[in-house]
Amino acid sequence: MSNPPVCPRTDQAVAWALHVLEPGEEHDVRAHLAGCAQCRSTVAETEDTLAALGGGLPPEEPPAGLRDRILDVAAATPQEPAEATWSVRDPFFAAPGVDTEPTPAEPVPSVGSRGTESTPRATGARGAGGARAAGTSGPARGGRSGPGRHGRPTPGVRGRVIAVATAALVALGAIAGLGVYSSQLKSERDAEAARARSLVAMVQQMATPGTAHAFLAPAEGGPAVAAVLATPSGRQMVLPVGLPANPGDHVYVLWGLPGQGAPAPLGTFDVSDDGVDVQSVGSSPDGTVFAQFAISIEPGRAAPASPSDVLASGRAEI
Amino acid sequence: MADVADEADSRATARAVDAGLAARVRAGDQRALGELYDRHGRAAWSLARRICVDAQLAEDVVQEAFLNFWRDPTRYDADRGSFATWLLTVVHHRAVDTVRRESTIRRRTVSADAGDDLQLPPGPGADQQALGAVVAGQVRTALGGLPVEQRQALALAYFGGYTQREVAALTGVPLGTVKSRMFTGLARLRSVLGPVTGLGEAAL
Repeated sequence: MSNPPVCPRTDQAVAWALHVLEPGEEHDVRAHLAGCAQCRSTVAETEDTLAALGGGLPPEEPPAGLRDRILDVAAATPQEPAEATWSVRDPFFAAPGVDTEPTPAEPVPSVGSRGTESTPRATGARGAGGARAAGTSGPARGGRSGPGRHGRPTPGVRGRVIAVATAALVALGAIAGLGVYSSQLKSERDAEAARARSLVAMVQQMATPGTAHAFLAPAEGGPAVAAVLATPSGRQMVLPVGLPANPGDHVYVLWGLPGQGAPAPLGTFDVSDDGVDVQSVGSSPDGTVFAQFAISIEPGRAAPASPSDVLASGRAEI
Repeated sequence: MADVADEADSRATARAVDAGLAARVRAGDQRALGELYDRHGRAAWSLARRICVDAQLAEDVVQEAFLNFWRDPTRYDADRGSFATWLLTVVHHRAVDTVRRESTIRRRTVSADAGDDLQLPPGPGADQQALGAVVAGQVRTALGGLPVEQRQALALAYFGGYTQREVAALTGVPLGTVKSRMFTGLARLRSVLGPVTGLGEAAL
């Protein structure tokens, strides 16, 4: 009787390891795995069994030149540890970034106008407008086309996206909070001014074509506690609006969940008592696309290989 | 009993050798990558070829699996399991994604009784091959012990690359039944193979 109850999603974890789920289901199960050690263990055991199955095939000789081709390309390819470009799913347990160092929080770099060619897509406006429904199902895979597919931008679309993005931030309480604080002490006002600048930068970035955003909530459909932006050049920004200040011996970690692959730790950040601050958190290789983002809190100051305690997650929308 | 102990020993040895090679790859040693290929390339190729059927696609799958590991060796964490399991999981996933993507050219030849033709590979050789022979024999026995409908569902899924829904459509069986066949079949395989595949770090 001392055994813990079996997770009701065990069968889905097995199906996930077998890779037989439809894309939407796969996203859901991945999110579940991030927070369920029991199912992660099931996945690892199933992968072991399946590898035995795959290894039980009658062996065939690989093509003669394959070994040399692999080694030739390797000789010309620099190693980039902990900078995974998730083009394929790795086994869930083999998350990268084991050696990831904590990324010191730094002010948002100025995000001036970027000469990007494509226009924000209609889904961008819809995604931002859906802020209040953070975490509800969105065009997870469909909304993934790269920039350049939709012709040139029009100022009208850009302006509308900014307006929607601003509304989204207001809905999150991020900007509304500014008014309350701005009548405080000068030092606080200065801090608020810096915050306002970074918020404006964030809103502008949100309107930049190709920038993905996500509103992270503890439960699907619940109120968001943080917003994440991911730029086409691979920078991530986090705006925590409902996260408690972390103790000094713990750190928040931002995770990116690719469509296929294990969660990648993108960087660490701190939340202090004095309000919201946009933070630049880590960076990813160009062209990395994450289907979801998540935030966990971890003991120590460095990101572990896989998240232990996921506080909030949300789908990326462009 | 001595056989079991010997086998456990050789498995632990193989894992330790792989872990050492993976560590050398982390340090940038290309020869270690070659040695890992020598030890596991055949299994990776056989699996990729079985799923993709097309030789060029299979070759791409294997090449990318090894090169991705070269680019970022931290993808494999020796504390989490064996290199063989990790590599075959990557190859399987990549191969299945490939056949799904290449649906216009894929020729899935997995027959309804697939899995019956898993053969015991020829006789013993150096450690990895000898181990492979032992495991393959037990895998074959374990598969043979499954009810045919469970074996069929697992073979269509694992070697055919079909999703649960596709398996249901192909076999004309309700989705829920397909799910439970896969789940039960894998649970049985795991209970039979679990000790064989050497889950757990105690072996190291």
